[in-house]
Amino acid sequence: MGADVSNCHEFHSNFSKIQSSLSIASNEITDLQLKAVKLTETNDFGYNIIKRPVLQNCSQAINDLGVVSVGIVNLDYTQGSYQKCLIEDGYYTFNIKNWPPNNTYSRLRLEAGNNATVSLVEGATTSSTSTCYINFSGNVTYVSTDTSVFSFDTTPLFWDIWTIDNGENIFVKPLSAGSGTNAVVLGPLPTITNMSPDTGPDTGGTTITLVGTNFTGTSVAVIMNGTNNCTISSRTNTQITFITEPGSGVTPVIVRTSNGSSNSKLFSYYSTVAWSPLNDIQF
Amino acid sequence: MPSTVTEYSSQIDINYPEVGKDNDTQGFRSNFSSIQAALLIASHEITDLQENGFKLTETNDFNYGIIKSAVLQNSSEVARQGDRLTTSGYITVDYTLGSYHRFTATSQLSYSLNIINWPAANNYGQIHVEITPTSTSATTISLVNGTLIGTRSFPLTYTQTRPIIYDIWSTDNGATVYAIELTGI
Repeated sequence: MGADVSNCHEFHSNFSKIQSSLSIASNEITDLQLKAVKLTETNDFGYNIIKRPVLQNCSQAINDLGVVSVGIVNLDYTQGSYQKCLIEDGYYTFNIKNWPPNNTYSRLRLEAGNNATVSLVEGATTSSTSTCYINFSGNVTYVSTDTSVFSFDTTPLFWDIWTIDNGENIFVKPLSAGSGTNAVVLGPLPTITNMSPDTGPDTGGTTITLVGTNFTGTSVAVIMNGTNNCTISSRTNTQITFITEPGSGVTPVIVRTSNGSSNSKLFSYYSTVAWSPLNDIQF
Repeated sequence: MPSTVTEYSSQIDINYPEVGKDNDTQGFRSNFSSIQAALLIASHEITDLQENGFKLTETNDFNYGIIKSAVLQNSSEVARQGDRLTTSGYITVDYTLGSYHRFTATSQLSYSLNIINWPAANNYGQIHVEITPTSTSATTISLVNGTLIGTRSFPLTYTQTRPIIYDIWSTDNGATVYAIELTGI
């Protein structure tokens, strides 16, 4: 049997109030859900301050870059406060980006392993000494040990690096034993913008012109085939002419100065094996 | 994920009952049912927040969940005052119990630091261990699976009563452990 209600205003008012209250409750719960820290999820605090925590059994995220090429190695602070990479003989300049905002003390530990000692066999390594020239880009102050040259084998190299001003001033403390005192603020890195020609015979002897910037500093060298120093015919701050070494296939060309290594351009060797149509004639 | 309370509260017919009609009581039951369902959902969502939300006044276990872009102020880490060491052998240090472990060690003995319960692999765990010898007689210290970074290597012998402090870390659940001396000989 239905209800014949002559005055429905009270019902409407009550149902409306209930619905309105539930809607407000829903919004408030949503606000909590969106803003509340969840113990079981990743929480991004957006650089808001957490005051007076006492930390226990905490760990920090790692960013493992694997094998990195000589030259500039970019490290993204946001990816982990412990950064790992593998390096070999050569010049490396670590460039740390995305530091937290000004007036926050931000620190990362850097581990650089020796790629020459890495073995395909799990848990085994091959002894092999690498010599690396390590610097950090930016306005760097080296704390306690002014070191940039490291000869190392199976034990990685370590640094503590920190800033309090969004990376404007960076402090570096080498934790590993090294040598050299040229770990000072470096000049700009060389950059190759053009290389011509980019092909030549495998016997070498091709005259190549590199155009770019910052071909300055001491010990300027052109590197082909990994380690060969090419003969430089002439050099200005923006142009280098050099003679190719013998080689084969495709090889990167880089300019190395005392400030570090440039980007690379690819050079292709072509074969000069004599060909005679007579060779194909069968008698 | 936003609240789903309104999925049910929106089903409340706020124009029910209608004037002059023979209103079926099913309409009341439907409205009360929608109200009950909405309150039930709200209850579940609040319970979830209560159980899994961060409490400012309690110990919170993040269960290795990641905290991103946090700026810590006036923070500290749990420190443990360990036993006085009187016999040679392993010094077991439980990573989960604190970030700083302090021991007093009887001299003329040899100790091997054994850090247990490191964080899972691919997490950077770091602790400091402080050992104070009782006399200047030789005290020898080594570290299980440990490699000392710098010019010296384990085992190390100290003839001092100043605290010996190590910064010790691992990124592979303790399979490889590195250390640096924060206080020299």
